[in-house]
Amino acid sequence: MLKNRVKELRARLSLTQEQLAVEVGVTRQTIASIEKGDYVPSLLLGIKICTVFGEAMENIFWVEGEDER
Amino acid sequence: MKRKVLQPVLLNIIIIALFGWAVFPLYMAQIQFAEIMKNPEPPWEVTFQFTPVFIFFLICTPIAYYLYKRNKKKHKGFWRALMLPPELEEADEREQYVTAKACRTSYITMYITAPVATSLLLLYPLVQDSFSYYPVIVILLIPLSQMLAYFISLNKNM
Repeated sequence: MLKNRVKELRARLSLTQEQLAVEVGVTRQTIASIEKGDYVPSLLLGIKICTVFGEAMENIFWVEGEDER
Repeated sequence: MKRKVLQPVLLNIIIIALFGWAVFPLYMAQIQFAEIMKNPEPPWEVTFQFTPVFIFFLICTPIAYYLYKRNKKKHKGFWRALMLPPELEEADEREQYVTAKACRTSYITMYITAPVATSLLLLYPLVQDSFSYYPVIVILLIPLSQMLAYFISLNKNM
């Protein structure tokens, strides 16, 4: 399962879901789904989110659990 | 979100139901016309009930206009707004993914309902006299079931 720190990093930058959504060009519901782990973003969207937070991909997204291999 | 998805589906179901109702008198008129063609000797007459057709246009014209206006905001361009169903959610990659899943479900539903509907048409000769518009109902059940399957899948994954 793909885990992420989007919620934590978003809070650190005092960004709302709506603001982050506008930054990366998606809807607010998509950001909410990513944060809850309901939706796995595409590579392009993942890179856009990393760019907004100024972090490397592996610091924001990682695989955990049975899919890890 | 649910309202956003549910509303066009409900409106489309109303349109299909009213369309089916409006087709009944046309179908009955066609049956009478077919009888006339068998024996074209006058006198003959065709009776046609106009009320369902009138009600169809009366109710569906504003619904179609509303769905078109709504669609125009979502899909840019006249032809896209006119031709694409308002149920398609494609604002970003997640919505495209969810829509693709719902379309898959709808396609599988078609795989099941089409042969079932075709089999149900086998009963038509038995009910032809008492229930002459039976094929119209059976055929319209296919898009209705597909729409419901689409909505259930979209609602679940949204």
